[in-house]
Amino acid sequence: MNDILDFNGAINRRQFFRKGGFGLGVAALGTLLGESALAGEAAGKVAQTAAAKIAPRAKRIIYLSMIGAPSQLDLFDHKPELAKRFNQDLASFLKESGQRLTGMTSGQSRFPVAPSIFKFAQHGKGGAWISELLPWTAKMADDLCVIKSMHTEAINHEPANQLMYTGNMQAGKASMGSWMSYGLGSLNKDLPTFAVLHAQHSSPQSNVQAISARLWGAGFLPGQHAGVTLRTKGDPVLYLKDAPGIDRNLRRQMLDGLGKLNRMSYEAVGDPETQVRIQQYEMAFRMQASVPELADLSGEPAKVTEMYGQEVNVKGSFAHCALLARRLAERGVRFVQIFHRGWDQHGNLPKDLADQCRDIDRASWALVQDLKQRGMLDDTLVIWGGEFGRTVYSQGTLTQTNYGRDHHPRAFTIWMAGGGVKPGFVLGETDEFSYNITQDPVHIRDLHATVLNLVGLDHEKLHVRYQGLDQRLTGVEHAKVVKKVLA
Amino acid sequence: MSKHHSRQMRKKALVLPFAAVAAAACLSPLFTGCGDASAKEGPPSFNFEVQPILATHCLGCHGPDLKANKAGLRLDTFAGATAKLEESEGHAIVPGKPESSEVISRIFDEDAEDVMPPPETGKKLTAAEKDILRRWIAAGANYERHWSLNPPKAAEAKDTSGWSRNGVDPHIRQRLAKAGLKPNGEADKPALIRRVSLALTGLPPAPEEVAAFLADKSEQAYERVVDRLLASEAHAEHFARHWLDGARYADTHGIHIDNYRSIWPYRDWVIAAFRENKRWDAFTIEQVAGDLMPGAGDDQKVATGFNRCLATTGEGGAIAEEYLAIYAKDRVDTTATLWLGLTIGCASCHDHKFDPIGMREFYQFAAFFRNTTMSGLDGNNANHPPNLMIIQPGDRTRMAELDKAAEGMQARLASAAKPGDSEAAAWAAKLPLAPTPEVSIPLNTPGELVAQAGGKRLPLGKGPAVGGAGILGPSPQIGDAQLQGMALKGTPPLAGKGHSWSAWILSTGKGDGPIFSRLDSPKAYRGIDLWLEGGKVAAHAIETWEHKGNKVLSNDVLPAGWHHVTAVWDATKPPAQRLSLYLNGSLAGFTVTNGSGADTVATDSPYRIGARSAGQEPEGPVRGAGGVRAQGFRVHNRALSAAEVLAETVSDLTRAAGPGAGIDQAARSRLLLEAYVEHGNPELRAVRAELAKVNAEREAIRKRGVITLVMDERAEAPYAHVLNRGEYASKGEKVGAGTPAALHPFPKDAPRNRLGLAKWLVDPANPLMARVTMNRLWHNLFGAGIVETVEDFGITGATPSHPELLDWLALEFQRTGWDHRAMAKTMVMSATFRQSAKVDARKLELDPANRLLSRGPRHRLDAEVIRDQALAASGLLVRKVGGPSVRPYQPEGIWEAVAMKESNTRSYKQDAGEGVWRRSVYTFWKRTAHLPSLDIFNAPSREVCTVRRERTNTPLQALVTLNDPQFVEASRVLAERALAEGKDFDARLDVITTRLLARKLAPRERAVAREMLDAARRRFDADAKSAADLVAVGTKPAAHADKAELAAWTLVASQVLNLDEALSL
Repeated sequence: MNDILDFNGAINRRQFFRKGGFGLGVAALGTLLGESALAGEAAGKVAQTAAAKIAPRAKRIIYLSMIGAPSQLDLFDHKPELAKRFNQDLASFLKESGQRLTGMTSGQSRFPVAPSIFKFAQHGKGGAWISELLPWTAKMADDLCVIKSMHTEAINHEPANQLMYTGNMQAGKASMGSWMSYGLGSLNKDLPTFAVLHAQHSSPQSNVQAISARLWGAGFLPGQHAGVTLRTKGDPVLYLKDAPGIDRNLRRQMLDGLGKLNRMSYEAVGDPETQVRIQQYEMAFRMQASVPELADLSGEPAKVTEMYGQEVNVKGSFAHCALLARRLAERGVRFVQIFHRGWDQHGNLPKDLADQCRDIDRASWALVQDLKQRGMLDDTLVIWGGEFGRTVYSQGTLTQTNYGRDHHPRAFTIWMAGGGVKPGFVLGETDEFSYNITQDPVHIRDLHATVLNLVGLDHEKLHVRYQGLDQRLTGVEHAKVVKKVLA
Repeated sequence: MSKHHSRQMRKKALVLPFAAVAAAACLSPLFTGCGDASAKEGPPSFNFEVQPILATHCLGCHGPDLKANKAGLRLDTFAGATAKLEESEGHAIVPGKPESSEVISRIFDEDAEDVMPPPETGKKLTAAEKDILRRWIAAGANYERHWSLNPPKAAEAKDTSGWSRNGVDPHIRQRLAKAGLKPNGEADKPALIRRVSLALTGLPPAPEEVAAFLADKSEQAYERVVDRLLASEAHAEHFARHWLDGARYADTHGIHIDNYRSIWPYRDWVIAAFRENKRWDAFTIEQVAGDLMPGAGDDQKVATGFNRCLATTGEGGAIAEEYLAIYAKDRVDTTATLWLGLTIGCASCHDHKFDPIGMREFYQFAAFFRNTTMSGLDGNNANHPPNLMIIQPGDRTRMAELDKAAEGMQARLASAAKPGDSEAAAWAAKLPLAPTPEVSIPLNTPGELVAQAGGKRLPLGKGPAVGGAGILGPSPQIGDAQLQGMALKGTPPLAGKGHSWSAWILSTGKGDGPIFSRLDSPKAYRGIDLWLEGGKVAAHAIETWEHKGNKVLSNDVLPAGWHHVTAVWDATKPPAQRLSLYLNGSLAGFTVTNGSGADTVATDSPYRIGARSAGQEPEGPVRGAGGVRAQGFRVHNRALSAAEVLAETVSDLTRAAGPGAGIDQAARSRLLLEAYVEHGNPELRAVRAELAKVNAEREAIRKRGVITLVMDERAEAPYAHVLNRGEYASKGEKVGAGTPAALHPFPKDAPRNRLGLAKWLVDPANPLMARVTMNRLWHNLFGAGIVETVEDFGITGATPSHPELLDWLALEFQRTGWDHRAMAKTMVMSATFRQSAKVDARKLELDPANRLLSRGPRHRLDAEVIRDQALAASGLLVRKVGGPSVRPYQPEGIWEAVAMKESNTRSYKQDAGEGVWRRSVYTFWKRTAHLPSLDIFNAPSREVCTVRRERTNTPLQALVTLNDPQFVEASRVLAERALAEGKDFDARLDVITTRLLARKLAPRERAVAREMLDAARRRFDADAKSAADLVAVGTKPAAHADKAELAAWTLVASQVLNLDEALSL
């Protein structure tokens, strides 16, 4: 089934059931299995749905979420002229800009310019500036589409992360991955459609931001579209392992009996939900095999694991999660999201940021190369980035070797690779302080519209009705697909 | 030429294909559905057929939100729809003339440029929908007020078939008949008792209850079960849980650090409210405005925790004003959802697009909640004010007893010292006269101060003009600039082997420094003093400090209030015992901190007030002691006896006060009573000792009380600013508190605050409250509401499946005096609820989702019910009601994965003992990571008000009930019970299935269970370790000796527990 039909099928199945079809359970089954038990009924309605006439460029997405907001000024947004302005007070500039400051620096008497102490060089044919903190990322500059002109309205982590990953600063909306799951359906009946991994981070000195299931929740979408956390310690999926003392054979026998009893119940009562239940248990059984297989890296050739570096063997490391992400993508999981926390460098930035970069740099490169070698990069979109940027002025004391940076919503940098984005390309420019965007601003909503477009979904048409509104990932305000980044 | 004019020219040629849609296809099984012959005759219902089409397809651009309005056209009102169009000569709607109505020509237009809705909206009308609009306009385009805003009205429904049991059923029967369906007969008794038990209590029936019901052949058998269930504690807990989803109750703040929040007493209040079946109006008023009710007690205040359950933040850098706006919106949303079924919050950024609620009205509504004293940032503090300390439920009975006992004892004591003619006064009159002092500094008149020494009058100089009430008259403050260091010259030197000195001191409970002294600091401080030290009182008698002297210090801090302190120095005693301290006429508990012993304290340095020397002294300037008042300093040149000390104290307390003169009579009575009790009446002394014990226990109870968050109102009148686009920083017009104009009027005599709001919500004129409440109750009992969108009764909400039934229920609810329990009973007593769940092909076709109730309810149980059922069936369930939340089994790393390291809910520590087996309503609810086994079954995070849970079926759920230790342990304990209670296979299987399914299995089902047992038995007999491993799961030790047998039966129990039947209502 091609992706558009799949999407339309999903939408139509849902509409059909909302009007009083066979109940949510059957719909859920359809989505879970990635195949429509009711394709016949749904097919009749396909034509009347406003079909998304967008050719999908990517089938799946791997989102590397750097929670806490990495400093664009120390990684991608090179401002060599700032060296001359070391320690100059930006108070009057800030006043003119009208940007609200967080409670953490609004009381500062001075706002001294803190030039990055890191060396930058241009890389690749697009001439992307990348700092010495990301040597491996620099090596793949020709794979990357760097957007230096991202912006948001949120200035604190909680609302900013919600805006980035659910399209709204307030809780309760559907997450990006759940929209993908809802819109695209599954490619693998044995694995969840949206998988979440939590990577360990190295920066214990800093503020480490909290995250919560609301960033990968389903909101108003049916619950099965919520991200399933694959854990790197304990069972990869909660309660996956059979209770102690129960082996596969015995479990099989138990489920066979359970199926027989449920079928008798179905014969007696006739509730279609009972059949859904039978399927649900069968898929659970299959997951019990497919998920451990997924998590078992022993079959990976040495030349692959070597790319990710030594850390790949440390369960829960970013490298380990990155390799797992590739394996998930390979098995058809639509949306894999790795959360890596610890990027909130309000102080002690030079050391802590370097540690954080070491966590993710090589493995991010390896992930992209690994996908490329397998021919998967063309239809896998990799996204790297945080929820906002950081200030050019120092939070706390500025010295020649140390400084911190506060939250900054008006400009930050992300990169994307593969999946139909322009490789070796840099979009956007900021002013001399990396404060305001001077060229090609991309709001988070625009990013969402673009990402949806890349997987063949129209952000205006991918909506569900909830609380009287057509809910979209991109919300009610204007959002545009950033055509310039499309390959 | 504008696009519109070109359209006008082509319009005449347009042929409307009415005939093509005359036999429109089935749109919805509910209103125009197949088998419903009447629906296509006559004009369509505006509310139930036309309005949904307008809302879905038209009002987004042509509705009440004027900012979003296109072409100046409003289709939400008759006037708007029939007005002359701005851009042409035509009218959108010409009543009675579809062929002249622009709406009709545009929806049938085949030109993508002109057709409505425009293709880019992704919306398209079906032929049936177009036909409804056409017929509606043809019939006059009648607009009706939205159905939910009209008062409920009684409608006749009759069922002559004999199937109906109460007022619910004829409505169901009538609707089924329209669809060509018949209801089912009653479910069999086991299925019925299981269903009603789970629906009303969230727990399965006990085997005895099943047996009793099966044995009870009377007509009232079922009603007896229902009454028993409704009176149970489990019912209160279960219904409270439903409510807590709406109240978004949780045990953490929710945002960012997500620390613990102390608010579980509110949860227990909700349980208690359902236990006592509190009238729904009281239930409402106490939660919304308990703090504002006249004479509000703790219970009413605890109830206001409802508005404190919302998620709050203490994130560094967050802006309080922004969050205060967010909190107000959350409170509006929650209140509107629970009592109005309206999405008022939609109007926070713009006028509501569908419902008649303007943006300004949103802020008027929000104003009710913006008058709280609660700060915008919670400080990550469990006790985020305003809060209330309350006594633990388990202590309340005892506390009431103690209060009562204390009251009696206090009354007895007080009666002994009532002013004037009292026992104490009579006793005091008989005491010997007080001895006459050598030196007296009364300090009992403001202004000129005078002392007496050796019978001489010695002027002291000018004192402060004003004094506070004292024991002897107005009392100056020791630290007063004019008194500070004031010295009394001309008194004879101290000499002799004994001295006594005393003073009245008004303690503040703290302080350090001298009060009165006669010390010669250059001469090693020879002399005497009274001194405060950390709020305790001390006295010195010094020859040469610190090697020859005496110092005593009271053991206790002087409680705030007046005290008479007397020091008695007697050089004839052994060195360490020379100095004694008396408090209020009785020997005090004191410690000798220097017992080296002065042989003499002779000095001629002057007496000083609040100082020890003429200048500033490094070790003892007046500091804290400066805050105290003191008076009545007296010195005797001999050691007084205990009786003399008492006489001096008591004589001051009973001496007649001067004219009008600043006497603290309460302190006098208290102290006189104290002296009398101590020295004059052994019986009262016993009473006092008993009272002290009672008070100590009361204090201990108060100390283990809990804080709960409550609402508190600022003094000024509530107001809010309209926030442009909903942004907190963009303040617009200031508005007072008010309710939307489209709804019923605000009660005339009600205050414009939350109390008035609460009264408005429960006003009988409110058409929504009763409907919304009854619909939610129906939803909770039947699995789906009569209005499926339980949260939204607005124009975009679902249309009711049985509007007349909903009205009947609403009227009944009102008629019974808002008796929620009676209404629950009515619903479960209905033939509708009691139907068998059996479904056949015809019902599946015509009533696929059971919206018409053509059969009894059957749906997957809620997360908590699945867990509680397993605990109850096995007997593990600990039936303790209320108290702090508990931490059951949870896989490792769940909290750690998401929490900040600063969070005090970062590390999960599972409870030892009963905490793992309590009902799920008591599970600790961490908003950012609630118990995964509940989460997987769609328990909401409680971040926002939820009245309708998702009900998905996913493989992850199967993994929970198969492998979560909670369920494995429950299966094993149930297996143990089966082995203990049943002698053979059949009896044992019956134990399991009766407890989980309320029935015995049929023979062919038994055969499957038997296969399971045999297969498992073979496996575990061959592998003892596996058997041991399986039965070791959980924290309750396995009791059955044969582990292979127990393990095998554990699998049988687990298999039954995982049946679709077990997981469904």
